[in-house]
Amino acid sequence: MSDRKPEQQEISSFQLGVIFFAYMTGSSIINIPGPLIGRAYNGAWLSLLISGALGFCILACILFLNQRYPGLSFVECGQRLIGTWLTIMISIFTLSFLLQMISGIVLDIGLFMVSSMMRETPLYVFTFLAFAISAATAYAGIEVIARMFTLIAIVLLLMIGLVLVLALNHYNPSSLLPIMPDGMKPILHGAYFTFGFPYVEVFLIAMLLPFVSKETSPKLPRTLLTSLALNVLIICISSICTIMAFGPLAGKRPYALFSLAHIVEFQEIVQRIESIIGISLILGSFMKTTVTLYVLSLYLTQLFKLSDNRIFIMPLALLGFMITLVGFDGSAEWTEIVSVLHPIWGSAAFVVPLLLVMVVAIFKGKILNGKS
Amino acid sequence: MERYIVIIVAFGYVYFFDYLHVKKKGSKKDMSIYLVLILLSLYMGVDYVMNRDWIDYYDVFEPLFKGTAREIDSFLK
Repeated sequence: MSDRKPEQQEISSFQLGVIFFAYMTGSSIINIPGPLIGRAYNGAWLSLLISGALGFCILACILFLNQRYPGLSFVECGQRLIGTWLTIMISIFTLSFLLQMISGIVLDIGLFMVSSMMRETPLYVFTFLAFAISAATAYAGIEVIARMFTLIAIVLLLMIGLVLVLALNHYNPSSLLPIMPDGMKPILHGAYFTFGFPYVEVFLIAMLLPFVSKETSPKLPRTLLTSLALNVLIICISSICTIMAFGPLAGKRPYALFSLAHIVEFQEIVQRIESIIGISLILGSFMKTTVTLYVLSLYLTQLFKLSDNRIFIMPLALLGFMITLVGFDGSAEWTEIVSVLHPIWGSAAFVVPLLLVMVVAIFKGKILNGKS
Repeated sequence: MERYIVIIVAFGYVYFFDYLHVKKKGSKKDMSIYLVLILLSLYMGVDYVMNRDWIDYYDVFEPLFKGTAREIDSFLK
């Protein structure tokens, strides 16, 4: 655990790129392909390109603010540009959505384990353990998070890559056509879904930019853009492989990669390797929960000008755990929240405040340039 | 009984961790925010233990976005 205060901790731009990639890809690579294909059918990869492009736009806005106000997080930029009270007002939905994110990610772990692997175990066993470990990791600080996640991200990628490669003999490329049999609407429907999860969550990186060391900060824009591009590519590949393996039935499987791992059979020795995907989901979701919890504690601390974000990590994790206990009323309602509500809620929470602060930054810059 | 144990373990873990690691108490503002978060958790904990289905997190935020979200979703289907 790092004894240095949060504001004294530093990471390199590469480490931030790894954290960014880890939380963007973490749980979405397992959860996205199935429901996305159910909405966009064979055009799922097109939907990802559209929503990924919107994610790039959000990242561009964040990098613009970072260039204009280096070393400041989004909250600090907001307080400087629009004042503390207005920043608090526009951040109500942001805080609410961040809390919803940590509950949602952890609930997802629990729902996956209960539906796929350990059906008799109560949901709260998984959610409590996930919150406990994520909170302890977040408490350790950004330096520890960065060092841990580099290794975990590599392991995650290797496991997913292994499953995709071993399933080669199940792929039928002809299943990819036709791409848009029902026109553009299913593609847009898929893009709407994937914008809500995960691409609107690019916003979170705006709170972690101040931790990048000055020596490596010139490489930051390229690193983050590369991480996001890699994320889009990997999820596209997973979706395409799922369509090739299952054809029209791909959209019926909520955990498509899990189903893909289930059918892998290599030389009659390697069989039933779906536990690898179970491990990948837990690792990916753990990384995402940790980063989101850390960002939430930072956001709260900076917004209300509190002293140390670490004080609030445990109570926020506890609150998230309570939400998973009482807020979850059933799979159908949960599916609606994630697939229908998230894009709008996320836009109100992340995109609207970001655009507001950016517009003020642009106008203030023009006024200052005019005066000089 | 099971629900009581779940809540006791959850709150106990938080108390135990913060007792060990939060070495110096924060300012009055910090403690107020901390207390608010604990009270919100306690409210949900009581709801869970007594199985009352009181107003929860999604009941507050869902109505704000549900209408618009459903219209967009049904337009795109």
